[in-house]
Amino acid sequence: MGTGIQLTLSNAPKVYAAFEHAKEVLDFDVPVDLYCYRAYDPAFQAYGTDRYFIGIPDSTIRMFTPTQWQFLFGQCITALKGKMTEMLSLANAIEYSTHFLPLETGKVLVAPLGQWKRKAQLTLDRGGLLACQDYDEVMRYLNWVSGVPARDLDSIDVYNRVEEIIQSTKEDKGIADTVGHVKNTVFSARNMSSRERFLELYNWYESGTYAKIVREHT
Amino acid sequence: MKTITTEYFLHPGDEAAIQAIRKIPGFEKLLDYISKNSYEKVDLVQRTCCSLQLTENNAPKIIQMYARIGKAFGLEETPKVFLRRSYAMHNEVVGIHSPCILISSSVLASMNKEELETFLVADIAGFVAGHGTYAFIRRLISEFGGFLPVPREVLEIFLTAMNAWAKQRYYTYDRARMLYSDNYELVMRLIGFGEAPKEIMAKTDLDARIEQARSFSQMTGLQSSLKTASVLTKDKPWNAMRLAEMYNWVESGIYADIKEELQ
Repeated sequence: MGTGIQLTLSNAPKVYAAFEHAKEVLDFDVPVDLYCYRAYDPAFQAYGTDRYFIGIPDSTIRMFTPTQWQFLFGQCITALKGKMTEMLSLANAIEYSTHFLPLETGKVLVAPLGQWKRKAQLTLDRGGLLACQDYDEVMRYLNWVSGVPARDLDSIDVYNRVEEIIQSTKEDKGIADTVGHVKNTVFSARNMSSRERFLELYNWYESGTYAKIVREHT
Repeated sequence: MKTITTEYFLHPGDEAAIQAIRKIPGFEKLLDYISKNSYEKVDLVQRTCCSLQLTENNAPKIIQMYARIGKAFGLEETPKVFLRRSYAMHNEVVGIHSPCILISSSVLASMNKEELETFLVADIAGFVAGHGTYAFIRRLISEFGGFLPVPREVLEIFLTAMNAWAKQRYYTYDRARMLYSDNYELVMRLIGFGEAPKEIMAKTDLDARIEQARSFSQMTGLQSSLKTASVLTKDKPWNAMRLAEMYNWVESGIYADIKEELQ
C-alpha cells in the first residue's frame, strides 16, 4: 500500500478479471486489495490477517498470460483461504531475524519452518492449477521459473520436460549429489525447487485426483 | 530565473539527517580515513568498469539534458555520467571528491523526453547537495564495513543514521523536480514511476493515488509501527509518503512562494 499502485477494474481490467475468475472458481468471497510494485519476481504474494492484500510484481504482468495470472492468483487465494499467510510471515520473520539477532530458538525453528514453507508451495501450486485449470500453461510457467527464456516457452514440450525430470530422479548420481540435494532441500533452500514442483504437479495430475476434483465441483 | 540553490529545495528532514550523521562521534575521522585510503577510487572502478560512460558523442541528448539542468542549479560543469544495467527505477550519485552519476538502463528505457529530463533533476540536485559523500559512505559501510577500522557496533550506528538520511533525500529530489519543471502532475507521476506497467499507470487516477497515500499516512497503532519498522533498513521511503509530502508542500502555498522568489 505504501509503495505499489492499487489495481482495480478501471486501471487493470484484464488483471482484475483474472483475479475475479480465480476467486469465483475457488469460492473465495472476501475483499482483497491488489497492489502492483516494481520487481523482477515470478510470483504474486498474499498478505494480511484481517485485511487482505496481494502484491503483484510488475514483471509478471508483462511476462505472463492471463491464464498464468489466474494460476498465480489461485496460489494466493489458496494461501489466504488456508490462513497460511500468518505462518509464512512468521517463517520469513524468524529466518530473517536469525541473521542479526542471537535468537537460538529462532535458529532451531528455521529448518522445520523452511521445510514447511517449501512443502506449502506444493499446496499453493495445486490451488493455482484448480483456479486456472490449464495444466499446460502452468507447466510453461514452471519452465519459465526454471530458466527457460520467455520466447522459447511455446517451443518446449512440457511433457518431455517432465519425462526428463522423472528420468533424472532414477539415475544414481552418487553420494555427493544426494548430500547436496538433502542440504539444499532440507536446510537452506528458501523455495521448493522447480523440479520438485514439476514432479509433484505431474503426479497429482496423472493420478486423476485433479480431474476428479474438477469434475466434482463443476 | 534565479539559480535554484539548496536553500530552495533541500528538505528539512534531509538536512536534519545529514546533521545527525555529522554529529556522530568519529564521523570526520571516518571521512578522513576513507578519503586518504583510495576507497573512492576503488569503488569508482568497481562501479564503472562494466558501465558505458555517456558523452556528447554517444548520448548527446542526455548530456544536453544534464547541462540544462546543471545550468538551472548553478553548475558550470556536470559530473561524469555512466550507464548501468539495472531493473531499478532510480539513479545514483556516488563519490566524495569526484562524484559521478550512474543512470539505470530501466530509467532510460521507460521514460519519454519530458519525463526523463525532470527525472534527471534529482541527480544534479543530489550532486549540488553533496549527497555523493553520504551515498558513498553508506554503500561502503553496507558492503565493506568489515574492512574498516571501526567497531561493528559503531558501524551499525552509522548505518542506521545513513538509512534514515537515504530515505529523506527523496523528498529533496521531489522538490527539486517541482522547482525545475513547475509541472505538479508530472512530478507526482514520477513518484512511483515504473511500479506498474505503463498502460496501467496511464489509467491510474492521481486523486486515487493521493487518497491511497492519505489512508496510508493515517495508519495508527500496530500498522503504523510496522510501517516504520519495515523501512528501517531500506534506502527509499514509501511512495505514499512522498506523494503526501509533495501534495502538502504545494497545497500549503510554500511552493508558490518559493517559485515567486526564484523569478
